[in-house]
Amino acid sequence: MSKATFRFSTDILKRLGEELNPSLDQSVIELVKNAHDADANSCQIRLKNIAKSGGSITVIDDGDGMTVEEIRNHFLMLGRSPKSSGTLTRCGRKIAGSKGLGRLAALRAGNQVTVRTRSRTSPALENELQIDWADFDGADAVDAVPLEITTSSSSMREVSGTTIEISGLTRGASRREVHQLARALLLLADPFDDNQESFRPTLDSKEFDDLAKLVQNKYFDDAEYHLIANVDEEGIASAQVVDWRGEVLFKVDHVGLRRSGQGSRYVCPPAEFDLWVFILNAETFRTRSSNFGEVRTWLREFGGVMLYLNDIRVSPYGDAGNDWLDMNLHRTRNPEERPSTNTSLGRIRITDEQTVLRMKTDRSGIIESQAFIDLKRFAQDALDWMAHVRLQVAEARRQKQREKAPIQTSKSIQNVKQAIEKVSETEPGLKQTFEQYERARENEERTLREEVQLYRTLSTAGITAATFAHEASGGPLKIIGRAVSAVRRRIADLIDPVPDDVIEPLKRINSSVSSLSAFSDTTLGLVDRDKRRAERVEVHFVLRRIIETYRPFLKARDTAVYLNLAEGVPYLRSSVAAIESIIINLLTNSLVALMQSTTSERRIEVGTIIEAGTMEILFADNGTGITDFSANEIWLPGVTSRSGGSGLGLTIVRDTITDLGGDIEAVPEGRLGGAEFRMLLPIIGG
Amino acid sequence: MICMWNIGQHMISTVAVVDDEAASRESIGWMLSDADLGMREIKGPLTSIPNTQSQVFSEANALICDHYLSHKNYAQFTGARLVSACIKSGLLAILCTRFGGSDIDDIRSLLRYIPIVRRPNELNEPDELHEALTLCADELSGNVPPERKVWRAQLVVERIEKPYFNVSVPSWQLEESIRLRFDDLTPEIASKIEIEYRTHVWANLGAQTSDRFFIIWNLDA
Repeated sequence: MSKATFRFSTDILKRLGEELNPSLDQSVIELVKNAHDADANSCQIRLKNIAKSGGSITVIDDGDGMTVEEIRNHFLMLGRSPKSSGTLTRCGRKIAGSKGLGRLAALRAGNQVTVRTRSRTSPALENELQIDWADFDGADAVDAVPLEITTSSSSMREVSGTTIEISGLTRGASRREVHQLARALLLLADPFDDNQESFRPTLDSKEFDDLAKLVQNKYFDDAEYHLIANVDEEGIASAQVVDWRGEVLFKVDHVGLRRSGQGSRYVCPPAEFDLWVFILNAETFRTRSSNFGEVRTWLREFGGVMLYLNDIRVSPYGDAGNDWLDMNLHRTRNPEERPSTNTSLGRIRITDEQTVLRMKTDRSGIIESQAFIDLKRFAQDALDWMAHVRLQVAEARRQKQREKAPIQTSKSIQNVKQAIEKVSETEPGLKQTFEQYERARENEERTLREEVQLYRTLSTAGITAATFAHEASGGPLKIIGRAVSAVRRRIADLIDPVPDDVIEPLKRINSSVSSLSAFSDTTLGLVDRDKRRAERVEVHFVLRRIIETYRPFLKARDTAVYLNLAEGVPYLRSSVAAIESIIINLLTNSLVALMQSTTSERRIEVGTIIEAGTMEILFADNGTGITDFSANEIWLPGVTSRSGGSGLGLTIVRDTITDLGGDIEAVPEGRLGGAEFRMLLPIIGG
Repeated sequence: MICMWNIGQHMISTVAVVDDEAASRESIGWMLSDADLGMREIKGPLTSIPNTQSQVFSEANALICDHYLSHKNYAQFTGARLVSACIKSGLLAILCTRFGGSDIDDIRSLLRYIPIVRRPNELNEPDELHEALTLCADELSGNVPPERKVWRAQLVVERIEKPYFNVSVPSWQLEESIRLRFDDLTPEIASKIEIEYRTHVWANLGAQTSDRFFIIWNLDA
């Protein structure tokens, strides 16, 4: 019996190298990943005469290097890697390279390969391996070509690392390939390479000098804004925002920055906060050498704010998914001009010589002491300030656009008219049709303008009412109440019994004060910011609370409200303010109608019916009903039967119902004799 | 003529009044005068809580205090903080507030030490004052009313919008969520707050309305 083994033709080696990694950038990056996985800090990629065939690529790193055994068993072993995904390197890096097949592709890119390496365990010895691919071309099988590893004393004592030179490139590399290589290098590199522990690849290429600079400077030059803030040993902070040219756009001192703390000092170690903010759209990147897609990919990898304590990066701050400054949350709440972890990259460098900040025992971050909370506050204050000044700029820009818009429109109309003039003989109806269109457009614009004005008026009325309500309930109403009580007591001391014609006016003042207090509370309650948030709103709960709040006022008007609510807890996605504005406006209208009515028992009924994903709210009173206008006219802004009324209430009711995807119908004389409103609202559950 | 009210262990003859409106202080004075009690009007500017507390203790046996004290240059602290400090020292104190808008955000974390909160129209008569002081004295002597008695309860964080976060306490109210402030938490508890975070706290589950509901994160604190 004789033994046999598989043998591989040298053609297989050639095809493996070419087909696995067809482009030069993908091949070279595999060598760079090897350097990364060997815990190198520096990795230089030299491209010489790369645009033409015959050039060379050299990759030089200061990683762990290889012993003779490692060259033999790992470097030259194809298809098996000592690295497995998920494991970490000696320095704790995530493994980037794979099976070693990519390496073969790189090595096959040239005619000769020279590997010189000094291992971490014996840096004084240099192992050298030379590969001449021409030797393989003339051989039958791969194992028929002997490779020699020589060992000699190294001139670079005590410095481990590997240099791989691929010379005699079989083809030239295109600019696109070198650009792709530069992008891939940026995704492997720590964005802040002033950290000595980080992986810092550099590209050296005279032919593609701009791409070499890109790897050096990364995409920071493409940032639209750079926030630079610092807090000193005394807890005094300052900040500035510079643009992409480095010109200072905005500056602020400590008092301006520390608005939330009324200018008090930050109690934290000195720190510097840098944040680069990118505007990721095609328009902004039109004149840049990078495109926004590649910057977006880079930010996806590194976006967020990293934290360095005495030059050492502290995890998990700024890791993927760690938004420790709540940037994304703030952006969600107030999207305009706020950076997120997907559109910005930053770092906070803390110099903590007194060891004020302490790590958690499980090393999962810094203990949330007052100093750390203040440090976060400093960073968040800087972000808030930047958002604020950027918003001001955006508002000024909008104002300018508002001023320019009518001029541009008028110019466009003139252009169309001139064009029509030219074809008026062949198309006589065109001029008339355009004039009709113009009139319709002007009507539409006027309606919109009036609507905007309506809501501005309404907002101003609301703000003024809230201010007065606050002032009234804080001072005058309180004092009137106490004064009336004092007067009543003192009269009782003088006259016993107190005559009814004295008691009654005093009672009336008290009930009026209660009514005014209820209105003040309701007005202030309406402007509560929380109520305007879109959320799950339980309609029955809101209805009950409104009626409860209005109770003293309703009592003063001798008006009874009957709630006839369906079983269950119907809810929809809306805001409490939206539901309140519907019900309160209807309630106010009913009270006016009841005032004008001669009915002896003033009555309002609010009922709900739930049916198949819909909720019907029935609102009826026994007032005078809708008499002066048709049921269609009442929704128009300004339509009111009450002298001095704004005529806005029902317009708001209709607009709000429409916004909620519902429908409203008015019955001039409903089942109680007065007006009745039937509202259909889609609900999520109930 | 000044008389003396015996309320529990407390002898009340003079009541201090803290309010940034002089007219409002005067109007409380009418009620105190009709109750035959003396009034010590505390005039601003008030420099600090300890100083004001000392003044109240040395000049009066009880305190009526408005919550907002900073509309004018009167005080840089809230009435809730002064009242809670006085209660902790054993003085009968009543907080007056309209309880509108965001008042409750300032007050909730201190409510544990504020037995009596009255709206302006609830403290116009001597009888109302007597009742309020009696309830306050009862609680100080350990007779905590059912609506203020605390029970162990589960709390769930529902929403975070810094500087606030909303929680629900299902054993108290299913429909209403309670807004709390990060600033009122210790750093250790604040670091744990995230949506869906659940923990056990102590809360007055008998509270009738959300503006009287309070949460104690750590009973020993």
